[in-house]
Amino acid sequence: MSPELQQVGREEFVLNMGPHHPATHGVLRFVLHTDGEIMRRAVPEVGYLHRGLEKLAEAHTYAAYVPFTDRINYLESMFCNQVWSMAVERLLGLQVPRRAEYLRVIACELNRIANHCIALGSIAMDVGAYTPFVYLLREREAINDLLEALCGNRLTYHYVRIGGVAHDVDEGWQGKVRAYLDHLEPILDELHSLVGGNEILVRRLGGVAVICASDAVGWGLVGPNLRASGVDWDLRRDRPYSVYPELSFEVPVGRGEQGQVGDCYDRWTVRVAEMRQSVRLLRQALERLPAGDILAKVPRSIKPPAGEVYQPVEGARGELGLYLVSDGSPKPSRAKWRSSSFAALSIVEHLSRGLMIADLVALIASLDPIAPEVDR
Amino acid sequence: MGALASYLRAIGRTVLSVGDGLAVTFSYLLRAPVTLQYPDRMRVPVIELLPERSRGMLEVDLDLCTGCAACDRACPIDCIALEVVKHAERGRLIQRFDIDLGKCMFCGLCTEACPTGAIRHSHEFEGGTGDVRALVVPFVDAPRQPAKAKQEPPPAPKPLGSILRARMPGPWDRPRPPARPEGGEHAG
Amino acid sequence: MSPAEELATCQAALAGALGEAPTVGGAAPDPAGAAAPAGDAWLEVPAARWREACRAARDLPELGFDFLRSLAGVDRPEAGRIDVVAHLFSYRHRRALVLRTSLERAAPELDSVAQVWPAADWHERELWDLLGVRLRGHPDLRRLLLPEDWPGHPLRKDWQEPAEYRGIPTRREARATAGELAKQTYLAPRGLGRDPAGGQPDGGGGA
Repeated sequence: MSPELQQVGREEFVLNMGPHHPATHGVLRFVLHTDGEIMRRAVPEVGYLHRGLEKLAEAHTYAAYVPFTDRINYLESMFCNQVWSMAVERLLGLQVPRRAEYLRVIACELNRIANHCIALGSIAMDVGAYTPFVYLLREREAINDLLEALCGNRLTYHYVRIGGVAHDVDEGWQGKVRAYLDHLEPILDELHSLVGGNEILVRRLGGVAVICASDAVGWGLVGPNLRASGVDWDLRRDRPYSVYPELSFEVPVGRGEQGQVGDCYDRWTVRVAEMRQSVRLLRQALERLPAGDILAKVPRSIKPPAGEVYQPVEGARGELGLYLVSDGSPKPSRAKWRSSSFAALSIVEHLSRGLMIADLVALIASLDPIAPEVDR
Repeated sequence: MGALASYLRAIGRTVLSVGDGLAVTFSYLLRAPVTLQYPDRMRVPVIELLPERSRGMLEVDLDLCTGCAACDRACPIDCIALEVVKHAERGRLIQRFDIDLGKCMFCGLCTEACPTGAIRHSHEFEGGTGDVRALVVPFVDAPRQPAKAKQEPPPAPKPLGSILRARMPGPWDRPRPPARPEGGEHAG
Repeated sequence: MSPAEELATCQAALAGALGEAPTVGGAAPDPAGAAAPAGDAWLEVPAARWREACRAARDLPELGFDFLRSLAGVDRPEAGRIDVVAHLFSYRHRRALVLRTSLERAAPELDSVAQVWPAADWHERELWDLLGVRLRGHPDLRRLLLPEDWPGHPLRKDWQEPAEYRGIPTRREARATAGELAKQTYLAPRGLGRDPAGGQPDGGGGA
């Protein structure tokens, strides 16, 4: 190698990606230390969307904080509503009516499909395929319409409440959901021919940014990202809550179809497979929806006894946890959100060594982080 | 030779899979479009397409309001400013009832707390304005007596959104261009 | 195993590793296992043994807590303490554990466990950022969510929001009263909103 060429690579080029960048999924910034196209490290800089939601919890009553949980993560508000409600219910020792539990499952699984539509669409868009994003947005629009009819808003649902849910559903709405599921299943096949099986996408994702199982566990990855790394774990099945034990579904795990287990393509396929499982869950839940109340008898002023709980649920991005401390007063003493995007972003610096810049984009997209959930 | 063969096979797969995708795309030429051209080429205004539970901008019917301030207490972010004063001769008077729609997060807690249904979500959502203060909507012009909790006969219900529209001129008051006569009728 | 038995197992294993038994706190699980307890129970270890305890929790085969779910700080000014709470989970044994320690509020310092669980890295940065707990031996202890020059640590109970940060007010201006509003806003000749002539003074959208 000539001396000039040996000098190449000694210098470091620092490049800012974000805070406003199409591939950063919200407002977050990556400081890239690169050597040509090869990354030395990419350091995520977060906090642009910090709204102090944990501090705000200390200033609001338990019931009044529920609308704030909508804002933790605008793509999985239903799960945030649910985890808050479940934590408070556990502190109160409250039993939720079965119809409400079923309605929660229905609302959450719809939300999961909507979230995965965005996740898959943005993976495709970030590696250069714009059209699937628009097609998937169309599918999500239909879910937004269904959820708007259910709870009145398209993103900030405020549907799952402490002790149950806010609104009941009628036959007409259930029929609409069934019709939508019938429509969605062929679309998922179509998605495969449209983009999932596309050689360009496969090459951009297959074998790229492999996360091994021990890294995934050590860095606290959860949900689809963890399962893509070959860890067969789903809270809905393994630490059952709500009425999930009564429903049958499979937990898709990454198998390294187009490269290695834990690559970006596995994170794609696991999400597609999860959408199919959500469809399955929705059909069962609609079928078995029992009659009854939708809201338990909740005291007018909610004052849980002093104590603390950590409540996890399997959100669309995996374990969404809430650590809630009550001191016996009407307002929580401490609330800490454990979000999956937080863990997903913290692993980026570790994985970025030696990646190409374009692969970093694929990695970030396939981890499906959402900035407001990181910053809270 | 092996490398070249796998290279050529990859090219072949690429062409085929791109063809696969394009077949899907082209099939959409024959399907009905799902997009709507908002706002000027809507066959029906969006507001009429919204579901019944839709939580739009808040409005207050003062013919029903008892001035109990339950909504004010329920609001997590203080977007309601309600002042009830004691007047020497006229008794309790609602002096002020402002709603800051720029702050409102459309959660619906106030409407659930209201005992008479005076505060309610309309379906209105087109409130764009150039001044954030224009989103503070006053519902009381002059101090007035609060309504009784039970009225006989109950006042006639006002159409949803009419109170707000009278108070807060918005884009809906601009002349609307006529809907495109031909084509343009997309399914929602 | 019932929650009570699980907690006892963890306590015994940690006692073996540390040479002293961690204390059980919180809602003690019902020994009969009949009714679920109202809240979580935890094991508390002295702050000086924190890293040791965490390492044991991860490495001892009978514990095997490989997943750090969350690391949170709780400010308790009335007791003069800041508690640090780690929520652990073991995929192998399918078991959760709450490990806890308590720090002096005046000068909270704790050994970092970022070498035990890489996931702790950011949680500890957040702990420093929002509660002001100094983590000894952390690889990169910078603020995570707030700017480097932000005053104080907001999740402390006595933290007061400053009126402004670098000349940017932290609050929106006071609400205009109805009377002022009528003078100031769309009805005033600022060209916003409705124009009596029915035109479109702000030139916005509709055309």
